[in-house]
Formats: sequence, structure tokens, C-alpha cells
Amino acid sequence: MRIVTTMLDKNSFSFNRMWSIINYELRGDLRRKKVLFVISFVFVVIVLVGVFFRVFFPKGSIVGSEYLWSEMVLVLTNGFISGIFPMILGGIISVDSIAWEIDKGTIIPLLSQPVKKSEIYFGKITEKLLLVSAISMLLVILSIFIAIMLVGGQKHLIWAIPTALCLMLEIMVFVSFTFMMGALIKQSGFMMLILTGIYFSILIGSVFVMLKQGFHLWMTLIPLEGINNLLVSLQHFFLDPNGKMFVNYNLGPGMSGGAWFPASELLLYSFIGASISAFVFTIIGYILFLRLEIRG
Amino acid sequence: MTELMKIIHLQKYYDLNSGITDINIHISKGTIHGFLGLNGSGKTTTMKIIMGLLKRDGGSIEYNNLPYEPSSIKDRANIGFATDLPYFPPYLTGNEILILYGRIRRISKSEITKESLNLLKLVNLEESRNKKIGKYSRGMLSRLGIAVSLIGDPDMIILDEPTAGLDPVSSSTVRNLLVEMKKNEKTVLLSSHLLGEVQDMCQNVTIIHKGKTLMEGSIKDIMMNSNNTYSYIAEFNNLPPKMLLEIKGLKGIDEVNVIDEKNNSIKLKTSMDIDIRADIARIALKNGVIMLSCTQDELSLEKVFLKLISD
Repeated sequence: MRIVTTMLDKNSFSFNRMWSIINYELRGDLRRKKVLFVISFVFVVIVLVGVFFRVFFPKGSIVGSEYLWSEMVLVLTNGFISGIFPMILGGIISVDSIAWEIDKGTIIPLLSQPVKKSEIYFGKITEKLLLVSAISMLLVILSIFIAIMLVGGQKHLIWAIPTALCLMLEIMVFVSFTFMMGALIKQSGFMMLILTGIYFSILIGSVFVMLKQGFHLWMTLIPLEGINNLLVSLQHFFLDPNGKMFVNYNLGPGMSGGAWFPASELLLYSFIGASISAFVFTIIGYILFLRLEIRG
Repeated sequence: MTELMKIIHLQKYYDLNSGITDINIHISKGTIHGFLGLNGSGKTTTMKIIMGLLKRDGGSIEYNNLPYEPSSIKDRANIGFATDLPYFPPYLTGNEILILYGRIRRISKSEITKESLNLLKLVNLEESRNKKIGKYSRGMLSRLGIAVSLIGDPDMIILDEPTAGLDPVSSSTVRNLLVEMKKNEKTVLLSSHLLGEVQDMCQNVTIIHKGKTLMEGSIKDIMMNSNNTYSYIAEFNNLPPKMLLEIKGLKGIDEVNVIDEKNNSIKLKTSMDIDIRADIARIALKNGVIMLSCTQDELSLEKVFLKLISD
């Protein structure tokens, strides 16, 4: 048993210990019914969206065509209401990682082990990255599968990979945001409500700014707001790499606007904006986690 | 005896009226060291600082005569920690949690699988090893917490009220574990409100109150130093006032109080460790009174503790 201390002699960051945290987190995620719920939810939503398109859009129309699979993914992630889907997904799977563990006290035996806080934090978020990647892939594959069943052969399947990648990035923005909020408020009870409140506040606030100043590309860099354009610009880009797309925003009658932008530029800005958001939330969350003290 | 951990002038402030201001503890190697104090006196805060769960605002900690840094995993690897009611993810089993924490400590899978079984046996949870923790009772959780604190065979174990709220069977299991640790020359810092338990188990104690160390040392020394009065309770078949006056006049008697007139009982306090029973019996005989009993009121850690915190 003395082997333990010799293996722990090094005080620096250890990927081996981080891997153990990934295992700890993964075991938890697989056991929690929430993850099963999320996967079932994804499946049901995809089927419902597919059936909706099949019923309301005739075969041969844009969304009833060989691009149906990408429309199905897009409708889940784009727009004022459907944009909430990545937030629900990201929030549900990550609320237990930091907020719940602090809230319930399960973080105490974990922090009492000879493991660095950085290994715990980055181990947990890396596991979420793996899980979100798997869920994104599953969502895209399911979309393709159901689209083939509903309208027949699908085209541009090579775009399934960047689509899954962008979807993963969208969800990861919310995962990192949930991690950050968890380290900040240390309560899991109202986390989903808080996330929804902040998300809609930013969205509505951004539209007001757009109504006043018009839409500019830099606005896609606004945390949480900009990610709404990610998948839609990707779809426009793969349909026509040199084409333009119309970005519109509205809060009701007389409160709307829009502008045309090259899809490639919007995609680039949205991708950079989402990446920066995920990175910044992760780092702020990490700093808050480092300062964490277990009182009571 | 060699000192394993030394805590000097430890401080932690939550706000103006709470926290710890001056905690000093000297823990000898291979001993069970009692850590006593009322609720809110700073015991858990001190333990959490040692484990890096709270940051200290002042003071120093030494381990094996070297500076101890709670944020250093190398330092912390030598110490196991269990709280009064440890919480573990309810969807995992006892066996899984030990293996997962063992893997975090970089113990090989085969080794921790073996060690996990041994630890579960040690804490009487062998039969519940594959039961989900969510279905564990409070006693089982507490014992699992102790098993977790023993992963990797650390030199020192910190136990925060390990028998609090446990049924007699679980308490007895925990006490047996402490005896086992003592046999194996483990160093244990034990916080408990059961002072009888501490008196039986510990060689040394630290008593803290309102965030400060009041007294520290071996139980014997603490009892000697904190109490310089000795009490006797005597019962007679009759209690004539003349006899009372004679007893009060005995050398070394500081105080005589009638505690029960109906049963003719008195309580005597002496400032010296002298046996006054023969003198009392002689006075009773002289006054034609029969002394039914005269016993020394036994000094306990509990009484010393209560006296210390009330002073």
C-alpha cells in the first residue's frame, strides 16, 4: 500500500489523475437517470421534428428534400425558442458536476483526496466534452437516419461532421456556462431557471441593441447570443459557399430588422464567438472553483 | 513521543464574530488525539483547513517537522479525512466509491479492488458493498466515510465526530476501528462530543472554546491541572449540627454542603488529594452517628471540560 505515496510524490498537474476524474464523472453520468432522459429526449424531439416536416412540407420542397437531415438539426438549435434546446441539454447534463456536488456535499470527500482542483475541474469538463460530442454525433446520425426513412436518400452527408462539431460547440458553451454558474452560486436547485433567465435576458437585450444600432458582425461575439447563428450559417455555407444569408431579429410588430451577410463570414464570426464564450466561461468557472471554500 | 503534526496560532475569520483566532495543537505520532469543543468552537473549521477545504488566514502547520501545505497533494496524501455524515454520490455503490477514490490516488486497479474489499470488511460493510449508497443508513454512511479515509493506508486520519448520531452497534464498530488504528500505530485526530469515549480512547486532548485553544496535553495532566479540588459524598443515618461543625473543622476541608437533608447526605470539597474518609468515620462514631457511605466523586474529562469552558 505504500506505493500510494510514491506515486503521489509529484505535485504538478497529472493527466493520470485527471483521467481518474473523467472516469468518476462518466460513471456518475451513466448512472444518473438524467443522461438517459437527455438521450431519450433527443430521440423523441428528432422524431417529432422529422414527422412535422414530413406532414407540413411536401417532398421536393427545400425542407422536404435531400437536405432534410440538416434542417432537422437546425430547427432544434436556431431561433428564439428552439435555441433553448442546447441550453436545456447542456444545463441538464452539467448541473450535477459542480453545483450539485457542492450543494449536496459530495465534493468534500472528493476534494479531500490528493487531487488538485484543476484536475477535478478540467477532468469534469473534459468528460462533458466527450459526452456532448457523443450526444451531438448521435443527434446528427439520428437526423440522417430518420430523414432517410421519411423522404428517402440524403445528400451532402460529409457535412454531418462539421454540423456535429458546431452542435457540440453550441452545447459546450452552455456546459461551460453551467460550470461557471455552479462554481459561483453553489446551488443546484434553481440552476435551470437561472440559466433560462440569463439566456433570455441576453437574447432580448441583444435584440434591443440591434434595433438601435443595426446588426453588425461583431454582435455574434456576444456570449450566448452569437451561437444562434452558428448552425444556420453553416447550413447556408454548405449549400452555397459564396452565398449570402439574411440575419433577422424581431421582438414583435414594429420591432424587427435584419441585414444580409456572407454566410462564410457569419460562420467564421459565430464559430470564433462560440469558442471564445466556451473558453472564457471555462476559465472564469475554474478561477471561481479554485477559490471555492467548503463552509458549514 | 515524536510529534507528527504541529498547528500553531491557526486563524480563520468568517466575519467579526466567528471563525478561529488562535488554535494550537500538537499531535504525537501513533496516538489518538482528542479534539474537544462546543458546537461552533472551530473544530470542523480547523479540520477543513488541514484538508485544504478552507483557506487559513494565519498561523502555520507542520507535518513531520516540515511545513505542511494543505493545497499540496503530496502533503495531503498522508492524511485521510472523514466527516460526521459524509455524503457520497447516491447512485454509486460503496465498492465503486472506494475503487474510484483509490484510482484518483493512483492505486492500481487490481490493488484497489483488493484493498476495497478489505476496507469494507473492516467497517462491516462487506455485505452492502454492491448496494447503492443512496440506500445506506446514517451509520453505514459514517462507516463508509471511515473506509474512504483509510484508502492508501495514510499515516494520519482525521475523524470529525465519527460516532455522532449513530446507533449503539455502529458506534461500537467505529470504536473498535479506533482501537484497531491505535494498535496499528496510526495517528488519529478525533473530534467528538462523547467525552467518555474520548477519555477512554485518547492519550492526549486539545480543548478549544470560541476559536481558541484553552488547554492541551495528556488527559491525566489536564485533569490534574484543571481541577485542584476533590469531592466526597457522605451519607449518614443522622446529621447533627455539631457533627457538621466538626467535619468543617477538619484539616484540608474547604467546603461542606448538605445536599440532601432527608437522606442526611453531605458533599465535601478538599483542596488536597487526601483521603478524609477515616476522619469522617471517626467524627461520626464520636457523635453516635452511623456513616452509611462515603465515596470520592470521580473526576471525569466531562467535568473538567465543563469547568474549563464555564471559567
